[in-house]
Amino acid sequence: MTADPGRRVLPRTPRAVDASMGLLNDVMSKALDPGYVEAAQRPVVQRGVADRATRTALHMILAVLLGLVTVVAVSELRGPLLAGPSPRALLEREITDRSAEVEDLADSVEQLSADIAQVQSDAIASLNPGLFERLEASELASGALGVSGPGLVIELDDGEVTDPEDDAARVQDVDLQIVTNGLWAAGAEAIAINGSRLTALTAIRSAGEAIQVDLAPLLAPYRIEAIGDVRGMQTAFVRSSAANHLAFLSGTYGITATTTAAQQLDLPGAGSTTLRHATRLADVASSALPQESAPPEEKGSS
Amino acid sequence: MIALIGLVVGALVGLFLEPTVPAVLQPYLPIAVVAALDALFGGLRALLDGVFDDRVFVISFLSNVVVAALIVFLGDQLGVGTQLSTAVVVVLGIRIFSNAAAIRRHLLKA
Repeated sequence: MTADPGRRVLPRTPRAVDASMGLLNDVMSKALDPGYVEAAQRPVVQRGVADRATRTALHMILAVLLGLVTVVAVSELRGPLLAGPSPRALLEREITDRSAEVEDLADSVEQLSADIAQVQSDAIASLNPGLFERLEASELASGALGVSGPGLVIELDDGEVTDPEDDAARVQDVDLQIVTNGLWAAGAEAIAINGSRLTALTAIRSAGEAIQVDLAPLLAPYRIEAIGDVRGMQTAFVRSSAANHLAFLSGTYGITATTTAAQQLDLPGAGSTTLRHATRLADVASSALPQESAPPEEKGSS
Repeated sequence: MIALIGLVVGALVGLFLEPTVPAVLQPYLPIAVVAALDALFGGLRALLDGVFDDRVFVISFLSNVVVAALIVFLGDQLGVGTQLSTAVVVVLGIRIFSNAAAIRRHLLKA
């Protein structure tokens, strides 16, 4: 305002104390849509019946649509909590699916190994009978072939687990290691745990709470099958430190161990074998020359 | 009145049919629901004030939802989606609160 010396500047309306809060005040005081008041103040327009019907129908349709959209949005937002499989169920299904897949693959490995063995024996047996015999003996010793015969069966089962956090009453990997080592020492020729054949390269160890044999997790009860001379094995095993360990386990943790003799045990082969070492024969036609395909003779379990 | 009835009918249809929302629209749902709540409370208060009007209710409802979704979309495009959403929720929340308070005064006289 330009200053005019003859006139006083008119005092402006005093500024509201809370002028800086205008936005908030607006929001608070005009909570009701001003449209309602305006519509109420508007003079009533007389409309024809057809016009009124159209307007009502339009309002109705729009309102139905809006109600639909709102409810759908709400249910969609609440959806994952109420409907749909829980993450746990999904994980469980995935685990069973994958386990089945692994079983299928293991089956196909077994099948292919049998095929390979067949082809191998066909190829070598006629050409070089001496070599074939050596190969078969090595395969037998290394666990590549399935074997059957009389033997011992030791079953270990977890004790009463009172505290899920405390797994002392569960069978540990070291227990299985001690038992299998005791069996080897007692003269076992072939051992399998829950149908998984032990070879010189098979690891028994724990991953989390599960015991893994040959990298596949096993569940209790653990059934250890050992083929060999039943009498001699039984005597030697009872005298061994492994038997002491089992007695200690059942006395302290309630882990049950039962030993039974079996007339006929069928142990599977260990599946695929990997060629790790080979030397060239000096003369292929000769069967007398030694050939090292190096499956270690000595057996261990971990 | 007809608009409120229509809203209830639509809600029931939605409950029975349970259609799925396309994934593209998912981010706009929370704000749209808050905006719808605001319009609903506004309508309820207008009803109790005796100034309810179908046309105003439907239009305010529609524009509320659309504008809220638009703001979220704009915010997402500008990279301030969460901040804008917060602003919208604050403003609408205050409005819902004052309308709810007015409704309470009408119904309970307190």
